[in-house]
Amino acid sequence: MIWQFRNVVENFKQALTTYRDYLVFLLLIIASLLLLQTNENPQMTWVRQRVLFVAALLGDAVYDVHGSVNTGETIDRLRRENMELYKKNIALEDAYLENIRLRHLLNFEQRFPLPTVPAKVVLKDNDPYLSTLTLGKGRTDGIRVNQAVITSKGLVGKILSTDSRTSICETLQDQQFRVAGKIQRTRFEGIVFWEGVRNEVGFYGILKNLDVRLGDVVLTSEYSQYFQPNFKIGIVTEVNNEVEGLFKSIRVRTSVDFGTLEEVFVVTDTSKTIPSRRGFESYFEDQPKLP
Amino acid sequence: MRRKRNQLILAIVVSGIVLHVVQIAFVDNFMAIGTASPDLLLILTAFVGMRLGQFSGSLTGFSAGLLQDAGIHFFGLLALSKTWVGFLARYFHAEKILLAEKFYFPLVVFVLSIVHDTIRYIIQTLNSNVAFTTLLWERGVADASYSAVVALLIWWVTPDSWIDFVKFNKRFDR
Repeated sequence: MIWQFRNVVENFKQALTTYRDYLVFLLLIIASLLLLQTNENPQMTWVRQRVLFVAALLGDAVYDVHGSVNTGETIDRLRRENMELYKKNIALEDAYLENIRLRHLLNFEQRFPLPTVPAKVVLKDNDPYLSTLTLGKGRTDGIRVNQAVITSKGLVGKILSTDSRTSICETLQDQQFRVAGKIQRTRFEGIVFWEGVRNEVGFYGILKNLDVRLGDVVLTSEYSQYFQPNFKIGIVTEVNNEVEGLFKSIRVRTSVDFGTLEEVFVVTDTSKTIPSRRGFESYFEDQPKLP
Repeated sequence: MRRKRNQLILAIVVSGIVLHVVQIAFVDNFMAIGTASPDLLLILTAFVGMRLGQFSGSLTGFSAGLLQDAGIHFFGLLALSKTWVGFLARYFHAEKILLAEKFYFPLVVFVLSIVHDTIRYIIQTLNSNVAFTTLLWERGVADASYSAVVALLIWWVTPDSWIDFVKFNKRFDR
């Protein structure tokens, strides 16, 4: 290593000796030009202007060349930045939508007359035999088995089990789930159950000669064992008398979209003697009309 | 060798200062013909460049030019042109011809003076209404001719032993 260094130094000395005349001449020319630059006369002002102009042109050219050499790197960097910004944008959009949703829910919670506990849906289990939601609130939050689970749009289901921090909600979209319902307009009673189609339930027990129309609102009825009456379930989308037996075949589109469910309320008051229960349906949002 | 080198340096420095004084005190005032006047420091630079090499010539030219720049208030102008003169002078070095032909040195001075004035007038005519060619033709050629004549006179009166004293020596120069 030292030998190599000495070699380099020797070579350098040799080069200096060989080209000394030229180096000294070059240094003196540079010194002269620098001295010329110190003059404040029209000639040197003119030179300075041109030098600045050329320097600017060369600077642009060098910048362009540098830019073209680094184009690939720049594109990669911009892509990464774009990806990061895209992620941030998604997060912000998510936060914005969540904000709207939560404001909406807060508004609902404040105006809904029964005590409720808001809970986040942490897991959805679409088992064909047991469709459940795992909620992020449990016994410590006052949640008990068989309490009603709703959203601002209508009925979701009921609490099936709880532990200290989470609880499991059986939804309307479960084959085992049954709830007593009624037509809002005519108060005809029936049983609501799931028939295997998402966001749709059947309404059984309405005699063929009774008046049920498309768009009729279906609510929980006073016969329900677990739910307060007048929680909105959905609207009638199909009425068919051309079936065997005494009863109509009625399909109801659920008020709640189970595919996009993220936050729910657990109604912690299971008392059925609260006078304000009348007219609960008015607290739920209107469902879009049928086309 | 070292002693001779020191003597040479001293001789060049003293000659330079003396010639500069003579130039501004006498030549420019009493020897000028119209606007033309000989450049004594250019003659010295050309002589040193030819006899001692590019290193000595460039340094002599730069120093002599700086001395003159102080007088014309244009720093770097004559330093630049005389550095070129000192550097290029070595390319005209031909020992036998130089000593045999009395007109060779004045001729070299004429050519180098034209180079000197070309560089000088290029810079001086920047951003000016005066044309460079006019200036070079009217003043440059006159100055170069006058310098060549004076160089001839100096060459004639300078003893051969002095000319031989100022001689390129590889060991000395390196």
